[in-house]
Amino acid sequence: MDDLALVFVVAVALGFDFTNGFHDAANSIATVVATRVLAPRYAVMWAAFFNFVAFLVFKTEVASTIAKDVVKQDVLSIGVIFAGLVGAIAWNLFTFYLGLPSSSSHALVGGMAGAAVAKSGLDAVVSSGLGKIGCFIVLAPLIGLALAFIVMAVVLRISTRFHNVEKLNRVFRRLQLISAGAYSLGHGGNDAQKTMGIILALLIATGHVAPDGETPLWVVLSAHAAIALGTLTGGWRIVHTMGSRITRLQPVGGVSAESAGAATLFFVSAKGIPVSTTHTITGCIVGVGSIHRLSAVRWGVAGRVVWAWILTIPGAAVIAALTFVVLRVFS
Amino acid sequence: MIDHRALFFFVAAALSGSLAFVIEDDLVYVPRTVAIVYLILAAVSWLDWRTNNRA
Repeated sequence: MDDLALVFVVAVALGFDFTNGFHDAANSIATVVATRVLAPRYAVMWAAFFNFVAFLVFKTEVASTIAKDVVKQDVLSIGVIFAGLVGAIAWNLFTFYLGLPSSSSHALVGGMAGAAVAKSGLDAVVSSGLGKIGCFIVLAPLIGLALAFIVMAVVLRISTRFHNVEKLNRVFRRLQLISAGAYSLGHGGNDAQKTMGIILALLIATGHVAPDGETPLWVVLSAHAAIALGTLTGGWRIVHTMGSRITRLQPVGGVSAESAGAATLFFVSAKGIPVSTTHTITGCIVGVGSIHRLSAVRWGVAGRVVWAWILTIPGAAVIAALTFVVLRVFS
Repeated sequence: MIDHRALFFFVAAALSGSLAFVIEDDLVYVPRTVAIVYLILAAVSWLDWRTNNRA
């Protein structure tokens, strides 16, 4: 029975990963499609490929943080993790309905913490791990914003030496392929590892992996495959792009934002910190948009991101806690 | 008249700097570095704004 429950919750976790790819594909291919460097269908293939091969570049520190630094190991159980996933998915659907750009990652962390607290009280959470993740909710978009601003300023400075604007635009249109690929690599590296972390936590809770054990290869491959399939399936359907919703991007802006986003995600993934890839690229786009004047940025969207920062972890935690209580009553 | 961008960068610097007090020791360099970068960006932005407004 336990094995059946384990397989079911692993499938739910991979489903969560799939929706992450489905939802976030637009972040990496928005500018490539908008500037017609690639047709949408080929652009999502490009992003999905880099989502998948990210496992060759990144280790599994982010997965370890999710599995071991959010909830104390002795509190983890299939019920806690399932309730956490339900909390995260329900919160995502609720905020999707409200149009709030919430983070799946923060919802996942909040969901796991809420379910664990419902099981064993406030002592169930690893406060240092949650503190680290909480700090980077704010820091990751700020790092991306500053980097994108600096990259854009340097690129514009260099570009003024070139008088052939048409040729310059052609160069940046092609460079977007590299920057979008790098961003997709960072996205796959950070986001797929959150699902790996959930599955690793499940395997530790059920005794299939030792508490100090490594993430099994099948977990790594299935998490990357799920996010890549999600990107492949959903990306081309998404019409409204991050690029045009926050500020209108030219190829040079797209390259700057995606490069800065990729660098930020590479850094945080190396440090084992799960962050919102959506909020990171939002910060980067704001950085690019504010190079000339702040009024070029549509602050309404950026403001909603701040609300999402504040509400997501407590919101997902409350839903997960209620789910856990209901599960306990009926089990 | 104030430079809104410089003000924004200054607030970002303050926000990052304040996180240095709560983040764990081995990562404290991150918010500190980010705060310093934003202070520099605020200063550069303000100089840029002042130059443009004088012209």
